[in-house]
Amino acid sequence: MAFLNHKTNEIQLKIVYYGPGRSGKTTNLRYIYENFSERLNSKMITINTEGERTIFFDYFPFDIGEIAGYKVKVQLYTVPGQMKYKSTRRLVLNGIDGVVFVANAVKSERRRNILSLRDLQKNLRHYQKNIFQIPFVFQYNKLDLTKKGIPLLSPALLERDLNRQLMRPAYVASAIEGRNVAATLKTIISMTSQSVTANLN
Amino acid sequence: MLVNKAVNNKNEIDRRLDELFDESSQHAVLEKFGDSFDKDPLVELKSLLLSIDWEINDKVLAEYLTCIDGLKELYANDKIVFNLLQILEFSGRYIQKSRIKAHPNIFGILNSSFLAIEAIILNKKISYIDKQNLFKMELGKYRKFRTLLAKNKNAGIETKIHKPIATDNSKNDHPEKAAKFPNNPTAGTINISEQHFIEAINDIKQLIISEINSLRKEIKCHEKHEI
Repeated sequence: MAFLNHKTNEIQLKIVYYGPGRSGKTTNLRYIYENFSERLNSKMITINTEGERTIFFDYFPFDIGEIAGYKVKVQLYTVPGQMKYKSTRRLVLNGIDGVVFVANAVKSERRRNILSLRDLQKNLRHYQKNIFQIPFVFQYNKLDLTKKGIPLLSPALLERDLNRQLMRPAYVASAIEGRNVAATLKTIISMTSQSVTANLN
Repeated sequence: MLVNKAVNNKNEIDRRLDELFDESSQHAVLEKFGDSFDKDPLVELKSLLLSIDWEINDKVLAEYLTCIDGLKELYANDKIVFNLLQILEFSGRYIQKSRIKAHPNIFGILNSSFLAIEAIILNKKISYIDKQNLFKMELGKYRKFRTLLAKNKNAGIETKIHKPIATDNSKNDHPEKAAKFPNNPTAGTINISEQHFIEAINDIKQLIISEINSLRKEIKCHEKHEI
């Protein structure tokens, strides 16, 4: 359940970008920050990075105005994708309201996508959350790599591997080019706020 | 009223998100994927059931049980579908344990339970009573199967008990054979189990006799008091 402050009439929606290492989670947030930060009037915070890789998490909070009498604050987080940062990933999921699963469409990453999704399911269970019930959007990232001749997994195969049972909205995307980054974000915010307001009602 | 409010809220959120993340100047292509893809949640289960019917192997059974796990989570709020999935799970575990020795009726249970789940999920208008009836029917079949298994198991034990006595008789028929193999381990086990069996029967007889005697005494005492 989202954090609700009755005194200030404020709801905080926590949305986490999850996925295997190097799938483009931070790139998603960076694109949003670089293109919409003026409108959103906010700053992105990246905590502890090792070169280009996130080893703690990224954090990007912003307001989306008032809904049903409540000020809605959205907090975007990413998790470190590498297998070794298991405990940090679990920690970041605490109090989660919605998930964007960023899958890497590069062919060699097929197994890691599946393992990461299983890891997410396990970590959500730890917080008594059901992967089938939480607002959830898939993003099949790195489509731009076809231009470089890198073999990619087809969207149909990605759907079959990851989304066959979950049946969630899915976007093919290129976070580095900004393709479908905002669409993914809009969908997850919309789904999460609907779910939270339904709970409030 | 609540529904209208929810729709209004949704529209308001979407309008605001469109404003905040307007990409019209960036030529973004919105490609929402998935409309053309077959999103029947039972497709995978169906193909795995067909695979099991064709050949029982570790990989398929593991995939089958994982698939059931996923579906159980998906239908955690629908008790009837959830329970039907449990029948499929128990049946799968039985096959995993018994392998080629699995009773052939189990495949009928698998197919029938799957068809019941499919009927419930695909028919959105199905009433709760119809769903319940379907479940009761499947549960009945599954229980019948379990009883059949238990009977077969008991029959197996009976044969094990009778077998030594028969062998023992045959030993008497051929005393020379028994003399030839005095240290035959099987023969030893047979004698011991038979002896245990007879001792157990005698114990039970004694217990019944003593119980009847004490009951008789109690009845006599009651009769005297009444007089």
